[in-house]
Amino acid sequence: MIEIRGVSFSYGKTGVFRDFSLSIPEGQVCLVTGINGVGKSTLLRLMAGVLRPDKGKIRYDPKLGADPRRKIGFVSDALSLYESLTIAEAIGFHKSVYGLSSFDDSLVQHTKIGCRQKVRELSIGQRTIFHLNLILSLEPAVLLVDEIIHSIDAYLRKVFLEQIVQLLSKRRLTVVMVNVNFHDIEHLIERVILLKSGEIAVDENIEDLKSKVKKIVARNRPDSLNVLSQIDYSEHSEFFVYPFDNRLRGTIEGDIFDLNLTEIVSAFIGGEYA
Amino acid sequence: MLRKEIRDALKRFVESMVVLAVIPFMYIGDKLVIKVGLDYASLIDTGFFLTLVIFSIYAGATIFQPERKDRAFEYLFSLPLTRRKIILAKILPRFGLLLILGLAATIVVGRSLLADAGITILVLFFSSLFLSIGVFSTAINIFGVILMYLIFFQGGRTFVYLLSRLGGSFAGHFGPLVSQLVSAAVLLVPFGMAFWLTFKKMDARPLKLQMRTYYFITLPVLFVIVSLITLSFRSSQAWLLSR
Repeated sequence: MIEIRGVSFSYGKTGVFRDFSLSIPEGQVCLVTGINGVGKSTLLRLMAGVLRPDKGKIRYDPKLGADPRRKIGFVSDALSLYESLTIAEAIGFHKSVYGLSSFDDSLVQHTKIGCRQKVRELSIGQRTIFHLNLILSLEPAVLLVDEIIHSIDAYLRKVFLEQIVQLLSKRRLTVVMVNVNFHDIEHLIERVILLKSGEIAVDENIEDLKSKVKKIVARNRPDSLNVLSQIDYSEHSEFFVYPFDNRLRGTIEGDIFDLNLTEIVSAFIGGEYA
Repeated sequence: MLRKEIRDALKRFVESMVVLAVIPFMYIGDKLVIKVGLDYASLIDTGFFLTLVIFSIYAGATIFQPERKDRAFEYLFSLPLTRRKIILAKILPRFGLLLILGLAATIVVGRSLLADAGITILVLFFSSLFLSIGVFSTAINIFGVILMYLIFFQGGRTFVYLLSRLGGSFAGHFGPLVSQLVSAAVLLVPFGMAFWLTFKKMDARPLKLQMRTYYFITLPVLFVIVSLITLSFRSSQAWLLSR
């Protein structure tokens, strides 16, 4: 469990969060999304303990021990590692810090990374896979993954996601992902949090969210509903509405469509840019 | 962590050894070409002293270089390591190598360079170490260390002078040593405190956003010390010359 209570955070004079609270129960797979610069990566960094809140507290499940970072696997968009170390040295360093007796390099084996290669010589994709392998070797209880997984190719992304699924089937792993493209992770996600101006704009279970966000194709704007965003065509318009109440189905003029997660998030984000 | 830091400190150590490696070539060059008549023993003496000075500054100034160069502060802070562990793992190997170099110099030169210039070496090491967090380039750090050393040097004299004005004195053999120690402590303790408090609270934010505590402590201290030295400079110099 991760409990964020009354957290305020800023980069100098630029405020990001003010009195922000969020609770993520153990074993939940959570997606944090929102427009660029809204604080998604900052939220992940705060949870990982690499940023310290100016105010407020972040509490972790006592089961994670005195230093929860031992059980938190964090891959940031900065892919921060000691670049001047070789792969072998970086693995050795990681093992010694976390007190690991062995290192499962199965993810790295799928790539063409050599032990004597320096971390700085890796491509972004290779580096992402290497970083993911480092954190998966910890057998983390909490996995925090920034949207950097987009930088890996389709094959490695599939391999990584398979590993996550395996981990999820083995134990109650809490996962928080920051993402804007979800076609291959949608089946994993249980909860969606949409950030807006440093606050939670939407916090829904994925099934509830899918039932509440609909696309209505009609000539006229449905005035009785809250339209997030719209796309106009010559003959008709597409209106993305939230929250949609199923009881209104018969009263709405136009066709009503279900949306997948990518479309739902696009509708919210599109509304913010409109 | 410690193993990585030992490797890193050894790298700096070997790089600093370049000065010693140059000495035989200087000697041979003098014998064959320049013919000034350089004395090998004094060359070795100077070489070891210079190596000690260079390593003490270099080791301190580059303590966060891997994190800065590799942008690895975020990774470092994500590791389950306390700030005390991190800082000890960084300082101990560098300090240990400094002592080893000092001992080696003592054996080779035949007199203790550490006894002669130990406080100077320590001031240089800790000045560069404590400045390393507050300045953003090694070049500025070295410039800062030179200024700190000048303040330390003149600070010791000013302190002895001010003490005499108050009716006290450091008499006897240990007088100069005590005044140097006091001067070093007055300068380094606040800088050390600023360094530790800043590092303890530091996170992955850009460094320049996290320096408030550091400058809040160090700048007034520098202002007071430099003001004291400046205001009493003439009279302390005259007093020292009259003795």
